[in-house]
Amino acid sequence: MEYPVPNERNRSAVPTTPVSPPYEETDRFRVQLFHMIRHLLPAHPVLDPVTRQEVEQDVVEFVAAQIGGMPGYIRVPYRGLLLAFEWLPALSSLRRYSTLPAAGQQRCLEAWTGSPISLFRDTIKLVRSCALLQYLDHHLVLSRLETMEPEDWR
Amino acid sequence: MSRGPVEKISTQVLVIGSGAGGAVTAATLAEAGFSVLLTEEGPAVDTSKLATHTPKAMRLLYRNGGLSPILGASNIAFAEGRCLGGSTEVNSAFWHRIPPDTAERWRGEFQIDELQTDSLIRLYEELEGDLEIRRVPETNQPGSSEILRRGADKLGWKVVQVPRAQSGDLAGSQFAPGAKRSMSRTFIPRAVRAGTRVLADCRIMRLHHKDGRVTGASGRILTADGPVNLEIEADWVVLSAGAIQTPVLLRASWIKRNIGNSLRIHPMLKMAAQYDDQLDSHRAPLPIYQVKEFWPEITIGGSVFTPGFLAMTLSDNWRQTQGAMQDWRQMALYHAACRGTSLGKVRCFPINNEAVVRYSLSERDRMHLTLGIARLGEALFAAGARKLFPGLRRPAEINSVEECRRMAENPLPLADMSVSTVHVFSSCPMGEDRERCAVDSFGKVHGFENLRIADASIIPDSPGVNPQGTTMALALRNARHFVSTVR
Repeated sequence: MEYPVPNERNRSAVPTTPVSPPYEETDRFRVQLFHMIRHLLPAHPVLDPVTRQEVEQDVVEFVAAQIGGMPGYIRVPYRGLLLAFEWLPALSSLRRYSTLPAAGQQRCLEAWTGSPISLFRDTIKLVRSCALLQYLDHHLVLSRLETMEPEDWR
Repeated sequence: MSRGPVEKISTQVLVIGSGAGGAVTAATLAEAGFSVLLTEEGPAVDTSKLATHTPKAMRLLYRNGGLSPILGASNIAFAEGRCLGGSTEVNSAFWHRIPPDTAERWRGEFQIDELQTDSLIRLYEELEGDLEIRRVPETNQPGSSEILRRGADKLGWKVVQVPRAQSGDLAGSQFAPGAKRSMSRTFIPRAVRAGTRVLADCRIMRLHHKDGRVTGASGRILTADGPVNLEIEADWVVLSAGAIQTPVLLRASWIKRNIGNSLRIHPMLKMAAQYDDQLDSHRAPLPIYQVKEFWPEITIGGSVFTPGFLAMTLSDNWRQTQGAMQDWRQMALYHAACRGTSLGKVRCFPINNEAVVRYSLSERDRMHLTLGIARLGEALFAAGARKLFPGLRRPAEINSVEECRRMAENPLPLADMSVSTVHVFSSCPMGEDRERCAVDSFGKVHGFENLRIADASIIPDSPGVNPQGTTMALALRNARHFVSTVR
C-alpha cells in the first residue's frame, strides 16, 4: 500500500521555537512510519476508506511531529533505532521494511515488540503509544466510537 | 548565538517564565510600582478555545509534545507546560496547602527564616480567593471518582475531595476550554494591567553576571520575520522557568553551586479499571478524590480519561489488552503516586542547552509505587471494578483483590514499570544551609545580590501534594519580601 504524501492541511510541523527552526522529518521517514502505523492501529472503529486514509495521515503527521519534537540527544539515537528497524530486514530478505509485503512487516513489528531487548520493545512502544493516542482521540474516530455498541467490535 | 538583528531592552525587573511562580511575581512587583518585563519561551495560546488534552494541544502547549524524558535505570516520561501561563495551563489545577508539620520540618532542616505556618495560611487564603478555589458539589461529581471514594470508604481509608481552581460550571467536562483559573486568566492579566510587558515566544539563553551581580540576559524571540536576538538589561532578575529549565539556564550561565543537584519528583503509575456500568469518563469532570490513607508517601487518585489515554495505558500489553477497548465507555483511569526519595540531577546539554534530566527510582520508590498500585486495586475492587489493567508490562491484568495483595509483597521489577510524572521540584532548594541550598530564605540566589528564583525549584523537598499552591504561596511571600527590602 502506498503512503499518500500528506497535503498542506495535515502537514503539522513541529511548533517553531525561538531558538531553532523546527525539525522536519523526511517524506521517506513518513513512509516508514505509515507502514508501521497501519499495522499498529486497531481495526475498530471501522471507517470508510477515505476517512481512514485521512485519519491515518493525521496519525503519521502526529507521530512524526512527536519524534521531531524530542530533545536532540534523544531524537538522534531514536531515529537510529528506527533506521535499523527499516534496514535490518534487508539482511535476510534484501528488502527494507517499508517495501516488504504486509505479512513481512507484521512479522518485523512482532519481533521487535516481543524482543527480550527492552530497547527494541521501547522503540515500537513509543510509535504505538503516540499513534493510538492520536487515532483514538481523533475527532472522526471518537464520533464513530461513541456510536458503536460492544458487539460492533467483533 | 547566531548573528542577526539584535533588539535591546532595558527594564527594572526581568521575570523569566510565566508559570505559577513567574506570574505571581510579575503581578506583585508590577503592582508595587516596579517596571517588569515578563518573558515566556512558549507561545501565547488562547486556551479558552482549545481543549488542553487533545493531540493538537500537546504539540502547542507542552515542551517536547508532552514527552520530555527523565533518564535513569528506568526512564520516566515527564509532561511539562511550555506556553504563556506554563504548566498551569495544562495541569489539573488541584489545590493543596502543605501541612503545618511540613513547613516546620523545612524550617528546621533547611534553615528557612520566617516560614511560619500562620503567615503561610494567610498567603494560601489570599491566593484561594484570587483563583476561586472550590470543591465540586455532590450533585456534579464524576462517576469514576465517586467509585474510588466509595471503595476507599468501604475499606475505612481516608479519602478527601481536592479543591480546584476552576470557575464557571464545575459540572462541565474536564476539558471545558477556558474553565481553569490558570495564570493566563488570573495573574498575567493582572500583571499586564499593572504595566508589565509580556514577551511570549522568547527564550532566554544566558544570564550575564560579574562579581555576584547579574547585569542582563541574552535570548531570542520569534517574530513574524523570524527569530531576533535580544539583549536585556535589568536591575533585578527573577528566574521562574520551572524546576527543570531554571537550573538549565543557570548552569548554562555558569552559575552552578547547588543548582540542579537535588531534583525531586512524584513518580506515578497508571491503572485502567473496567466496570459493569457505563461511565463515559471522557465527558465527565476531572476526578476529584484522592486517597490519603498512605500519605505522605503514597497518594492515589483519578486521572484524565480519553480513549487515547486509555489505549496508552493499555499499550504495554496491547496485544493482550486491546480487546478491553470495546468496553471503553465503562472504564476509567487512575494513578498511584509516591513521594520520590531519590535525588535527581538537571544538567544542560553542551551544544544546544537542552535539559538532560536524570533520576533513578530508589528501592523505596519502587516499593511505594508497587504498594500504591496494589492499594489502588484493592479500593477499586471494593467499589465493584470487574477487571484492572495496570500500566505495567507484567501483569497485564488484575482480576482479584488477592492478586493485588500478592503484588504488594515484593516490589515490581523496574523493567516492568511505565513510570511517568507531572510534578518536579527542589532542584534549587531554598534555605540558609549553604551546603545544600541554592537560594536563601526568600529566594535570592546565594552569592548574588540581584538574582532570585520564584518557581517550584526552590521547594525544599517533595511536598507529597500537588505543588502549584506552594509554588504560588512561596512566590508571593518572596516577592513581597523583595518589595519590602528594596523599597
